Parts: sequence; structure tokens; C-alpha cells
Amino acid sequence: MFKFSKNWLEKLAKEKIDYKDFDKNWLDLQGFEVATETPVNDDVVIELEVKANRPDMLSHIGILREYNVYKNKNYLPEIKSNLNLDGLKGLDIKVEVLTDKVDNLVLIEIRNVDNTKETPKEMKDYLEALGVNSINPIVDISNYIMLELGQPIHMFDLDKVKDKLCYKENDKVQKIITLSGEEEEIPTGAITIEDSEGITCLAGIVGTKKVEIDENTKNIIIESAHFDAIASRVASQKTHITTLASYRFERGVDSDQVLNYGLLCAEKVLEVCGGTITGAYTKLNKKEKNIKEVSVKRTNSILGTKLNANEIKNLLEKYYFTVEILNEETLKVTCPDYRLDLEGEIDVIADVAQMYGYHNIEPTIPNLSVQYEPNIVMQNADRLRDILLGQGINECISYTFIHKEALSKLGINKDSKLYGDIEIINPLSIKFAIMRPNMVYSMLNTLLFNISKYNECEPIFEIGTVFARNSETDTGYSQKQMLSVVLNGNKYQKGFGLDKNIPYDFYDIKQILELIMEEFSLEYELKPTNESILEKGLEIYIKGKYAGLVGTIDAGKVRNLENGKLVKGEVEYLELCVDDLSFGRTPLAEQSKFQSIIREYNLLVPNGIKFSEYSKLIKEKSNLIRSIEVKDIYNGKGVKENHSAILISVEYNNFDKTLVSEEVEVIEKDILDSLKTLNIELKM
Amino acid sequence: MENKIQEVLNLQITKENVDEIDKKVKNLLKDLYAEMKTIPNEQKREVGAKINEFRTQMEEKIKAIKQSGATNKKGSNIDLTLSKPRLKRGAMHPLNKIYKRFEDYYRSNGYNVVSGPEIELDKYNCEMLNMPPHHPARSMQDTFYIELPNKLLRSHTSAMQVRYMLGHKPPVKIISPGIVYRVDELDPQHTPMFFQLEGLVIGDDITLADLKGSIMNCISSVFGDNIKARFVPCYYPYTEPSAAIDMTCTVCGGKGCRTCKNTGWIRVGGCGMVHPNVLEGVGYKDVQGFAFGYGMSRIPQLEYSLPELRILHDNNIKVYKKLK
Repeated sequence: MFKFSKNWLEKLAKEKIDYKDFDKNWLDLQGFEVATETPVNDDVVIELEVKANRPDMLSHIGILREYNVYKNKNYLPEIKSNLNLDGLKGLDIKVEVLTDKVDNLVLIEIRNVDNTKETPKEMKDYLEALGVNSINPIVDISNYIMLELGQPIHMFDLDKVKDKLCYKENDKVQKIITLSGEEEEIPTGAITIEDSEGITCLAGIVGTKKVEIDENTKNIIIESAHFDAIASRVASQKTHITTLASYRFERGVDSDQVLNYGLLCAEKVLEVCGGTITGAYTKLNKKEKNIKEVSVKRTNSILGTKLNANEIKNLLEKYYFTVEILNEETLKVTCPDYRLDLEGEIDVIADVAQMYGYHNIEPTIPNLSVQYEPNIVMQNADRLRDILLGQGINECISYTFIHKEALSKLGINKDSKLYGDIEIINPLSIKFAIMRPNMVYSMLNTLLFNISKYNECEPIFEIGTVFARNSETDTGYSQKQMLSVVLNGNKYQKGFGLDKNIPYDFYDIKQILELIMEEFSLEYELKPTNESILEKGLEIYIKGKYAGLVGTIDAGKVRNLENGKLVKGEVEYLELCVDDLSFGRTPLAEQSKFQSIIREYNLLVPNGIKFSEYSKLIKEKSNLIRSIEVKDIYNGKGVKENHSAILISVEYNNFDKTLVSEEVEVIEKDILDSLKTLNIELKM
Repeated sequence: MENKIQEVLNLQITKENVDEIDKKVKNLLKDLYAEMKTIPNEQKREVGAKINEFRTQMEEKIKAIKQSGATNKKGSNIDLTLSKPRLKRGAMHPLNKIYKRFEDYYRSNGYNVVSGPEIELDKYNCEMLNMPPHHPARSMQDTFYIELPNKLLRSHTSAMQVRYMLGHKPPVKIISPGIVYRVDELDPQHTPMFFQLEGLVIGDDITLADLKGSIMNCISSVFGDNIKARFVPCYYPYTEPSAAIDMTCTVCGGKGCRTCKNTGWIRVGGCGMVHPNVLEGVGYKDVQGFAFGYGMSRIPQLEYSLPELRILHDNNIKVYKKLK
């Protein structure tokens, strides 16, 4: 972000700038997003989103360069100092540069300044409009130069510096008191400036109290320097100190302007506070010109344009490039010094596109086809979504990170298949701390949220990601898409012929599993489970592999959660791995031409005898039995203790002829006789 | 005779007496026809016409009354205006509702849909996308870490695109939808987890013009011909040239409103020509292409005028049911 002032820009442009020129669009269309525009007294402060590649836009001169392009002014605005350092002696103190992370350094000694003067009103207004407090003239000048030209400046009180200024990489962790009065720990490796007593400054980031400029300051050293961007960034990150200066150094500052901007700063000091330049130190490395060869063919091939060499030259020159046409196909392009982002030909081509105008590029549609690759997991998810929506179940998407204590509250420990311990190092809060290993917590959370709002929650499902450690992947983790379904409350409301509410029960959630498996034509197995989260339930296995579970959640576990006490009735739960599903097929079986006979039997079944057992027994009695279905279960009044009345319906059919009831009666008798071996009899 | 006719014509016919009047009319007609025989021949024509007129008039009246009552006749005690509780219909999540519209567009244009890991290596999430360690652009996407320094929650699905390129030779034409994570405080307009749809097309001669055409076509296909897309220069480390994607504000139709801060445009994504460093990193030679990404969470917010982005993960079922 960079804030600039309209008045300041007008001063540099030496002309009135129509306020409309700041209408979002021109900067926006140049790729600089205007975040806010705020009137401040008679000024307007514009906050600009400056992307990481354009640190040259973090100054008023940078904005002016863009403004001149927009206005087709065809010249690069520059500000040059009239001062020079010729014939000056060195500094009174020793200067040592022991690190290659400082490649350009200018130190200017000025004596006999008067820092008790008032900061000029104009300068003060500009700074304050941009939210920079006016402190004293010398400090204000350093901020002013930085915001106008983009060069961070540091000022030392010469009389407080002991013997020397030594630029080096810090070799031991030590503490400093910064200008803002905070105690900070300086990590090793950060560039520091030490005098004979210790650190005076964390280079390019923040100065210390020790050498602070105050109103009594008489003699100063102006530091204009270029510090390595990565070193600045690392030190700023490690210390968590971000200043206007560090923000610029870590993004990049034009090293070629270090001397000029240092001198402009000295000029301002002399103008405002008086004094005399009495010495200087310079270490300057001129950076090489950034010259690129740009191919006309490649430019057009990237952009989809038909520009010729001359047209490209004109576009680039408008944006301050110096261009020489080597031949019809090649241009030699010299980039402006302040542009630090132009690393390759492609970056110059991008500027051609921008100057040509994205709106002028004729849209086309790519002519490219590739081989189809199915995404099985997403196809499975789509199919599941269709099935569940069709059943009136509603889709949710929850956060994939869950509460730090989610699993312990649900009593899921290391023995459980639902356990996981992948923690986020820097979570937003303990509510979003663990990558979920299962869907239980997310689903219960959604259930409880809706119950707390409406006293009920319609059936819900989510198809989401769950995470696990996995030493076989390159990340050390793996993920699965998991379907989960929660049913709670009433399946049918009483009324319209129904004399009581019918709540969801275990068989309802199992029905959903059965429906899914039938739609996918998948064989699966259900096995008993030890998962303590379930009061009753089964584990699902597909081709022998664990694929999920289905059951009724233990009511006590639900009550452990926030709002958990609001839940009434059973919470039915299904969790099924989407990745493990695959489309099977069920061919159409031979259809009988003859009518079936359907008979119902009300069986009195001792508890503990399973449907799978006696249905198998029945089926074995005759090959004319086509299907056996359960129509009702009853264990209320009139049913013997420890027994249930199960109403089943059996379909009989003969593919070769119409069955007569006498034939069925023979089979029937056989069935009832053999059921007696399981102590099952007809309920009278 | 005329008096008798007039008398019957003046009778008020209601649902209750309609049958009675019907009978009366029939009796009267019988009498009238009988009377006809006594009338002299020269008057017969005139009187006959009068009787016929009376007959048609009455029959119509009676028919009208009888028909108006007919609908109420059977089961007249049922109130047809009331409704039983609404049929139960599952609501698709609003994010998926919007996403599916985009997916349809891209599938029918021959894009493959790929998915990848949400816990990623820094290598794929940043380094191979032209963001070496300490690149200033890294602060654009503050990241959740699982293990320092290099295991993290992906901050964009571009990570998957790198994996895909490493495993496939060009040409490439994919979309990679999915959940991504960025360290954003949970406030009304920010969620630390959101949904992104990215795409990648690489071939011999794919251009910026192709990119522009694809995006404009997609936006107009998904939202209708009156909704346009435009490109604005932008910066991403992994594309050059890069553009931000703006689309006509669907709230005001481009006239300017509070939602679009009076610009008429809404930013919905970013795109650009894949940076040569990225292509080189995955071993692609002599090809070029484009990449794009839409912030899928922003679009349902616009489409359904959601006051807050976090509604998308509150999972308030009654609210979801209302979003069509």
C-alpha cells in the first residue's frame, strides 16, 4: 500500500491535476488499484495498492512517472541535486563496511544545524495528510525525501555516535531500544550499524534511541544507502518490525539514485536548518544498464497481436524505455533504471501489452483439444450429491479445520479409526486448529448450530476432505473425500392422517447407505464396530477395505459439545469414503411372464436372532422365492417378552407357469417348520 | 301470455332455486306451445319467435348458474387454497450451485477436471510458481503451516497445476477446482478457507488474446450476454503478462452501486500467460499458455446478495433453502 497526496503530486507536476484524473480508472487501468480516496483539508489522499513487482511506485515521483505516461507527456520526470561532494574531506568518524549486503552507501556530515526551527508548513501538511507525524525538521526532511523520491534516509546525531559507524552482519543476538522506545531483540545475520559501544541502527529498518536526532542536535550524518532486499526482508520478518523504510528496502530501491537523493536530502536540510556540509563518505557501485533483446515474433505470439517493430518501439518509448530497432524482427531495449522488475524478455512484452491496452487485444478462442481424463472422485461425489438431494437431504460445506479439543470431547482416542492429530502451526484460533480426520465434529457442529437457531435441523450431508498422516506420499499426508450424513428429529410430522411423529431411527440412515450402494451396484459388508462415538452401529467394508461407518451417535458425546444439550432424539450418522466407491453394474435379471403370489407372515422372533439368519433360511427352502422384505417391526403391547413381531412379505414366482396357491402353501409349511428351529413362530 | 313470460324472466335465479326454475320454465314452455295451436296462423310466426327467444334466454341463464356450481359440486367441503407442508427437497450448497455452472462451461469446452492435495509442499505452492524463498509476493498470500518450513495448506490450486504439468506432457487443458486456505481473520467479508476455480491451457501457440476470449466467453455464458468481462493489468509472480478479471456488476448491471463501489465492475479473479520460469521448471519446452483463477466464494455472494461471506460456511439450512 502507498498513500500519496494530490497536492504533493501537483507540486511535482508543476500543474493542476484535475481531480477526475484520480477517478479510480486511470491508475486502475494501469494496474494500480486505488483502495481509498480520502479528502483531508484541501488535499485528497489516495491509497494505492502497489503490487510486489513495482516498488518504484512507492513514491510521489513514481506516481508522477505514471501520470506523465497517462497524459502522453513523453518525458521522464527527474529531480537532480545541484550539490556535489567534490573536494570534501572524509568524515570525522571512521566508517567500516564489513558486509557485501551494503553495495551503495553515502554519508554526508552537516555541522551547525539548527533543529529548533519549525518544519516548513507545506512539508508538515503533506506529511500529516499522509499520517506521518511531524517530529522535528531534520526527521521530517528524512521522511519527506523518502515519500517524495522513494529513498529511505537515516539521520544520526553525530555527537552521539562513538568513534565509528561499522556496517556488518550481526553475529550475536542482542537487544536494542528503538526510536519508538520499544526493546527489540536483534537476530544474528541482520545488517546492523555499530559504533564502538554497540548497535546504533538496524540497517534499513529502524534506528536506536542512542543516536536519535532531537531539538538539541547540532551536527548530523545523513545516511542514504542501498541494502540487500532479501537481508532486509529476513531481518524485518524475524524482528516483526515493519517501517516505511523496511517496506521499501525489502521490495527494492533504485541503487543508482543513492547519491542524488542523499544530496537532495542535504539540500533540504541546509535550506531549512542551515549548517554546512563538512565531510562525506561514498561507496558507490554503478549498476549495469538493463538491456534486453525483444523479439517481434515472440511478442506477437504471446499477445496474439500483429505489431511491427516500429509500433512496439513507440509503445515502449512511451513507457520510458530506450529502444533501438536492430532489424525487423529484433529490438534492443534499455529499461529505465528505476524499474527493478524487468528480469526477462517476457517482462518487457508484458509492458508492451499494457501500453497497447488490454482492451485493444482482439479476443479469440484457443484451438486446442486434449485427451479426456475422468476424475473418478468428483464423479462419485456428483452422483452421491444427486442421490442425497433427491432424498431431501441438504448439502453443507464446513471448515476442514476443527477445534483443538474436538476429538477429546467426542471421546475419539488413538485406538479409533477416526483419530488424527494433524495440527496447524499458526491457527487463527483453537476453534480452527486441527485438520479433521473425520466428519463427525463438523457435522454435529452444523446440526447443533441449526438446532440452536430453529429447534430442529433438517437432514444434512457434506462431501468434504479428511486428512491423515501417510509416509508414502511426498507431503507425508494424504486426504480423502468423505461423505457424511446426519439425520435427527422427525422423519414424518404427525397430521394429515398420521397420528404421531415418526422420528428417524437407525434403519433410516442404513436405508441411505443401502440406497447408495444399490445405485453404485456395489457389494459391501457390514461388520460390528467398537467405535465409542456410536451407541449402536456397523462398520462398512468394500472389497475387504474399511470404508466408513453407519450408526447412532452416543447421546453423551453429543451433550459434551456446545449446545449439545439442545438435541432431542437420536442422531443418526453415516460416514462413507467417496474415493473407494466405483461404478458397478447390475444387468437386468430374467423377468417372469407370470403373476407372482405375495404372502405376508407376522413372525414372533426372539431378540438376538438376526434377519440375515432367518431370511437366508427361508430363501433356501425354495427357488420360487424371489424376494423377502421386512414390512414392519413391533415390540410393544401383546408381544412376548424378549421377542419382536416382524412382519415380512415373501414373493413367490415361477418362471415357467402361473403359480397356484396350493403350491405356495406347501413351501409355506416347510418354511414355518424350519423357522421353528430358530424358535421363530407365527404370531397369532 | 306475455305476462307469464315476463314473470319468469324476472325471477332471480340462484344455485338453490335453479332446478325449481328449470322445471317452471319447462312447464311454461309446454303451456306456451299448447297455446300456440290456438293462435291464428298469421300471428304464429311472430309469437313463435318470441317463445323461442325466451327459451334460449332462459336455457343460457340456467346453464350458466349450473356450471358455476359444478366445480363445487363434488367434495364442495374441500378448501383447495390451502397447502400441505412443502415437499422435502434437498438444497445444494450455494457454492456448488455456482461452481457447477462454471464446470459445465469448461467440461463442454473440453477441459479435464483435476484435483489435488490440500496439504502441500512449499515447492509446489510457491517455489515452482516463480516465488523463491523471501520473494516479496509471498506476503500476498499468508499461509497456514502444518510443518515448518515447507509443509502448508495450499493458498491456491495452482499448486495442483504444477503437479499436473510434472506428470503430463503438453498439451494441457484443465481446470483445478478446490478449497484453498489463507490466513485471513474470520470477519464478515473474509473466511480463512475458500473455494477457488483455476484453469491452465498450454499448447504451441496459445496467446493472451485466447485467454481474453476464453474468459469473456465463459463469463457471458455463465451469467448471460449482458454480463461482460474485462481485463485490467495486474501482477502475479507465476504469470506475465498478468490481468485481473473484472465482470459487470450483477447487482446493478454495470450502472454503479454500493456493491461495486460505483465502478460498475466487480473483481472476480486473475489470469495471465504462464511465466517462462514456471514452464521451464516443469521441463516444458517451446510451448506457451495461460492460467486463470476465479474466487468462487465471491460469486455466490454477489449472485445471492449475501450480506456476509461467512454465510457460506455457517451452514444455516433454512438460508440455503432460500437461495435459488
